[in-house]
Amino acid sequence: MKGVMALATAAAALLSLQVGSAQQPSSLRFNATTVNDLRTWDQFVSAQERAGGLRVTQVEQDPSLPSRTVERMHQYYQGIPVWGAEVVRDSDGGVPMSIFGDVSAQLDLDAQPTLTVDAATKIFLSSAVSATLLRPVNLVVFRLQNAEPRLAYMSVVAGTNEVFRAFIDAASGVELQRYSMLQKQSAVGTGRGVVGDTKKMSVRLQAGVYVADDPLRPPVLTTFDMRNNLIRALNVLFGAPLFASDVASDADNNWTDVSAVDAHAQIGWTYDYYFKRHGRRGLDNRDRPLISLINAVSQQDALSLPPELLDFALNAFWCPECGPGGIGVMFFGNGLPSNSTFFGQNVSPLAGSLDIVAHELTHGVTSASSNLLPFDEPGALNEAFSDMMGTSAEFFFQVPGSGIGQADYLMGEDSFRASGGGLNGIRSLVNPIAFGDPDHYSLKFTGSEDEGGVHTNSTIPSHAFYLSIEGGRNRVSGITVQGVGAANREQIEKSFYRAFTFLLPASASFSTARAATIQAARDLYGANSAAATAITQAWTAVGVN
Amino acid sequence: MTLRALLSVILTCAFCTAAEAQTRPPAPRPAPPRRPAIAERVFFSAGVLFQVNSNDFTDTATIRRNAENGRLETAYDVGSGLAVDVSGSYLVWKNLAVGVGLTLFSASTTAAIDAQVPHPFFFNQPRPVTGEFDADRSETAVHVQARWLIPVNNKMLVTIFGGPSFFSVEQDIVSDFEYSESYPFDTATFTRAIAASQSESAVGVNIGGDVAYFFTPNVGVGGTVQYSGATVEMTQPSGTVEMKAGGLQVGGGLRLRF
Repeated sequence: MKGVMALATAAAALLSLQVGSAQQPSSLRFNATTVNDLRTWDQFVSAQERAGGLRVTQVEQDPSLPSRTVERMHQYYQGIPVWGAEVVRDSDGGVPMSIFGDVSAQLDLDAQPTLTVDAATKIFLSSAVSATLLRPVNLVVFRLQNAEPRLAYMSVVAGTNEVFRAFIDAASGVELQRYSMLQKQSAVGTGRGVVGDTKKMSVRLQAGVYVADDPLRPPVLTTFDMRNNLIRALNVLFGAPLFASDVASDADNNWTDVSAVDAHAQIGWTYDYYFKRHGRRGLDNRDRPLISLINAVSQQDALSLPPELLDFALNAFWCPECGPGGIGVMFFGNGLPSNSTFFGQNVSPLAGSLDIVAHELTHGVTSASSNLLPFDEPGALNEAFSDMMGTSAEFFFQVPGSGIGQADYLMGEDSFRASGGGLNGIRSLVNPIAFGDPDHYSLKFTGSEDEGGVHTNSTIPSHAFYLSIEGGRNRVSGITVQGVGAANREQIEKSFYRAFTFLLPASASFSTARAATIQAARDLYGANSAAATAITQAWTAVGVN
Repeated sequence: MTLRALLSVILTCAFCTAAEAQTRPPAPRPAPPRRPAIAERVFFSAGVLFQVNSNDFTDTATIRRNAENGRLETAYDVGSGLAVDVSGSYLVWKNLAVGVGLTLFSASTTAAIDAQVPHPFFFNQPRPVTGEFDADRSETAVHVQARWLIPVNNKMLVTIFGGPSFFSVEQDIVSDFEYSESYPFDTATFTRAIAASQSESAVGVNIGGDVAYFFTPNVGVGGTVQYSGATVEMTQPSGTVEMKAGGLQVGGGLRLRF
């Protein structure tokens, strides 16, 4: 009581000095930054500390200002914490530089609760369906807005669909206030993806709904839902602004939009792959925003799309200059209804394939690094590098295998499923010819379609990538490659990554890519390393010298 | 000497002895030492006991983090230590006394926290988090005792006793913890435990013996060996934590009788 009286007396005295700012009933707020204010409030804080009215709860060093020490103090009333009443004092070598506080100045209440802890516990447990208490029931002085402070019991209650902190009057048991804790928790949700698997979603709680805006990864990572409005999607691609209302959302954080789940989660995974495997911070290594658009066309609407717009249903792409301000946008089509096929394949939302997501994001990496030209051999290298990193991301996160959601050297196999005995996926790094793509330089497509065959010819370098890892014999040349083995795939991934992002010029040819990847392996692992040898053999095997 | 002659001598001597014994009056049998009567009716003891055993226990809880269940296991190292013990008894019949004792034990225990915190991005990739917390423990035991007093002589008194004990245990229990983490969140580092003191009561037993030596008619010293223990259950949001209180205690101190 003595300490409280001292606090009240000091507060009253200091208030008369007109130090501080806006006042509320029983509340004493102060922002001391000038010499005179600091002297006054430092004496006040130190006196309260000695009297037990303030207790240091945290002492931190600010890394940006190493000489500074920040003390956080909590107000106590007769040994009971006053909820939310704190003083923060920033000092340099013991000299206060600023003091900010918000404490209760005139506390005068009975510190003995009428209600027992057991009775309070029962009240908390009855405050939600299937409630459990995440925190022990503690006494606090609870400060009501515009009302006198009350002695209260506090706990954190977890119900079926809610987690909240609650305060009940320690005399009457009446609930004084509750507020949701979900916003303060990491807003990690879950969702079911395209292939039926459950993924975690790093999202944000905003105005009562969960939005696909990742607060945990370093870059802006936001997934926008075009809500089956193709015109809106086209406008956005052409630079129209995106709004908060465009962000994919879910009411209960148990996400059911499979495209939103997979696009949002797997873009995050791809960012993680680049960071963990290559130490790269996103698209431009400077955490350029990762913006993606989904749901431009519903599966049903896709059936009536004119051919020139089919890409918005059956494809995914990266557009480095698209979006508001040319921010760069990834786009994922939704595919077709399950009873429809496209060239003998069912097409489910393309975001459901991790290799497709990583493929598109890698285009962003390429455009921010070697910026390989999008046609002819550099264009094929561009596509090849995206396929290499797409499969690498799969092997980084998934179990190797041929099933859905497993890592393999097929591209897009989780979204493009053969409807009757055909091949799943759109390209193979193991056996390119299975999809009609070349596995040897002698078979290179030389026509003008597909920007000079950038997709079809990509399998020549991507097959070399595969051979460098797994080894094997090229079907055309008959040359056998001694791969580094799956356990050492990291060496090949890093060698190709280094070559394609640091060493290659924008107009690189296959031959340049050969030289650059061999050089990268030598740089990383030595001239006679298994990686350098495997890469050399692989390029030779596919006919690139 | 022939064998016959030898037997004759032995038998003669034997009968001689028997005849002589029959002729003397029986010697008085030495009286067994008489136990001194218990003249006092009130007995006090005060002293220090060393609680020999440790009462380590473990609390395992499920924590919900990042949309996945994790695990929080806290191992409390409640080691041996000193306890203060006082008791008083009153002689009610022959050598039987009834009394009440009080034992106070407190210790600062180490709680070792071993947790598995789910990853924010991936299922089934928990991060291990370990840390320590200084948890206070206090035990108050009230013993109701029947005491059987065995005076060895005027100076030495042996007592055996037993009865129910009423334990109240106050223990800091870790309910949660905080940790620091940063991208890519593959590791997490313990920062502090969130704990609260909880109390619970339980009924147990006590049994033991005491040997006292009185160097004046009323004042002496004594040594005690006793077992007093109970099992205490504390209810947590995550379930019930079971812990032992008390145990084997040895010690000594002042003895008074009036």
